[in-house]
Amino acid sequence: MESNAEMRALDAAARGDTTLLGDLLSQHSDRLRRIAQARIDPRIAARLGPDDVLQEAFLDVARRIGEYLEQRNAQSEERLPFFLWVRLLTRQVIARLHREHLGALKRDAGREARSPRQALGCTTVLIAHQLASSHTTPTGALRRIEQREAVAVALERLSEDDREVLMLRHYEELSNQEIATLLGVTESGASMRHLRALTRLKAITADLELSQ
Amino acid sequence: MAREEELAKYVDEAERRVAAEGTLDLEAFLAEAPDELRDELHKLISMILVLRPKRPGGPPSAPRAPLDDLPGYDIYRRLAPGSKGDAYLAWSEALERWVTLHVLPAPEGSGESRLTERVRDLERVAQFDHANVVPVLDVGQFGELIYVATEPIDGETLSETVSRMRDQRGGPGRSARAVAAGASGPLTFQDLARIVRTIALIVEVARTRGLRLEGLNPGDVCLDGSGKPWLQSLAFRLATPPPAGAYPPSDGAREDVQQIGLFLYELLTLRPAIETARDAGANHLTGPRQIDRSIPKGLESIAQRACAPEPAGRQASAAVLAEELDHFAKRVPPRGLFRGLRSWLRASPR
Repeated sequence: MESNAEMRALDAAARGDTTLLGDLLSQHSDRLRRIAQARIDPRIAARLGPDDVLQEAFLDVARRIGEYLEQRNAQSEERLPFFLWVRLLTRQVIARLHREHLGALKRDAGREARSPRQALGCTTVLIAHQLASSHTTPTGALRRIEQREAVAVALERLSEDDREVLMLRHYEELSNQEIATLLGVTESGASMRHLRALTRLKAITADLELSQ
Repeated sequence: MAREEELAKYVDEAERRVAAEGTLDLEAFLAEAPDELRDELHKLISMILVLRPKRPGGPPSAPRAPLDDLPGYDIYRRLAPGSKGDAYLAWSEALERWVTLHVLPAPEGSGESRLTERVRDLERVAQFDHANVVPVLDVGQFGELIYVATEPIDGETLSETVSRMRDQRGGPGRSARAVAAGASGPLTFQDLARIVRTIALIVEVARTRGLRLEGLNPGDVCLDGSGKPWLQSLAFRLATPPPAGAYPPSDGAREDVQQIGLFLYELLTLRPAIETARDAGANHLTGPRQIDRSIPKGLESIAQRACAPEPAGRQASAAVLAEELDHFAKRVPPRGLFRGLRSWLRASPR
C-alpha cells in the first residue's frame, strides 16, 4: 500500500528525522492545494487562500504525526494511507476556518456581496466553473460558456453522493483505489459509482441542451 | 451489468491516460473499444474531457517513463532541471543512499558507439576530485539516455536563485544584490565575487587534469546551507588537443575565461548574456551597469574583460581572473583607486 518513498519518509520520521516527511508533503502539495481551492467557501475566498489552508494543515501534520505513526506501528486497520490522512487533516482545517470566518460573517451576511452563481451553492459552482473552464477540444468561446453553464446546473441537480464521487475523481484527482478506501467499497464498486454519476450528469446536461 | 462493467473499465482507462498524458486522442481510443460501446463511450469520455481541469504545463512533473524502469534506482521526485538535463532525487539500491540522478539526452549524431564513447568520457571526467566539485557516484547508460548519479547537495542552484530574484524584481536587471536573499542568506557583490573566484580556481585546477569547461551556467553551481559553492563535474569535458599548426597556439585557457565571464555577467545582470547580445545585436554585450547602476564598476570591468570577443582581450587564464576577483572581494580595487577614494570622501560624514 505504501510507496517506497512513503515508507522511507515515515520510517525516518519514526526515528525523529522529519526531513523526508517535508519532501513528501511538498510532493503532495499541488493536489492538496487543488482540494483546498475547491472546498473553500467563495464568500471567504478573498481573505483565505489555499496556501493559508495548506500551512495550517502541514502544522497539524507536524503536531499529529506521532498519532499516525503509532497507528502505523500497531498495524491498525483504521489507518488511512498517508495521503488520505493528510487530505483528512486538510478538510478538517477547512471546516475549522469556515466556522471561524463564516461565524464572523453571520452578522452582516445580508450585506455580503454574492453573485448568483455563488448563491447556487459554492461547491458545485466552483467545481463547475473551474472544471468546465478548461478544454481539450477547440469548440469556441461561446460553446465553452454554454457548456460551463450546463455543467454547473447539471452538477447542482445531481445527488450529493454523485457530486461527491465526481469531485473526488475529477477535481481532487484521487485514484480509484483511494476513492474506494474513502467510500469503504471495492475498487470496482468505486468505478461503478463513478460511471453512474457520470451517466446521470451526461443525461441532465443533454436535457438542458435540448430544452435551450 | 456486464455492459456497465465493460463501460466502467474503458472510462477508467480513458481517465488514466488523460491524467498521465494531459490529453486523449478520443478517436484512436474509441477504435480500441467494441462497436456496441462506442457511442456511449464517446458521450461519457467527452464529459470527462470537459470535467478534467487543464493544468498549466501539461501532466504533473512525473519522471519520464523510461526512467521508471532504470535498474537499481528508485526515482523519488524531480528536482530543478540542471543545465545539462533533468535531475531527480533517487534512492540507489546498490549504494543504499539518496543520490541526485542527472539524466542527459543522447549526444548528437548518436549511435551506439557515440553513446558509449560519451559515457566513457563522463567516467573520466567523474574522476576529477576537488573539495568544491560535487562527487560523482555512478555513470551509466540506459537505452538512449545517459545517467550520472552524484552526491545530493542540500541547497539551491544559482539558476534557481537568479530566476526567483528576476521574477520578484519584475524584470531583468534589477539590483544584482540581487542574488541576495537566496537560500543561503544574503549575497553581497563581494560574496558573488568570492563564488566566481572559487569557480575560476576549480577551472584552473581542472585544466591541469586535462579538462575544459563545456558550457558553464548558473544551473551548474549549487550553494549549500553554509554558502559553500559546489560545481557539477558535468560542466567539464575532456580537453581535445588543438589541430596541428593552429595559430595562435592555444591551450583553451582564454576560452574557459570567457565562459566564466559570461557566467559572471548573468549573475550580475540576472540575464543570460546570450539574451542581452541578441537584444543589442550580435557580438555586442550591453555593459552590466547600463542594466543595473548598482553593480560596482570594478566588478563590471572584470566581467567585461573576461567576456571580450578577442581572446587577447581577456585575462590570460582562470587563475588571473580569480586573482582579480579576489582583489575585488577584499575591497582592493585593482584600478580606479583614486576615483573610488574621491567617492568615498564625498559620501563620508564631515
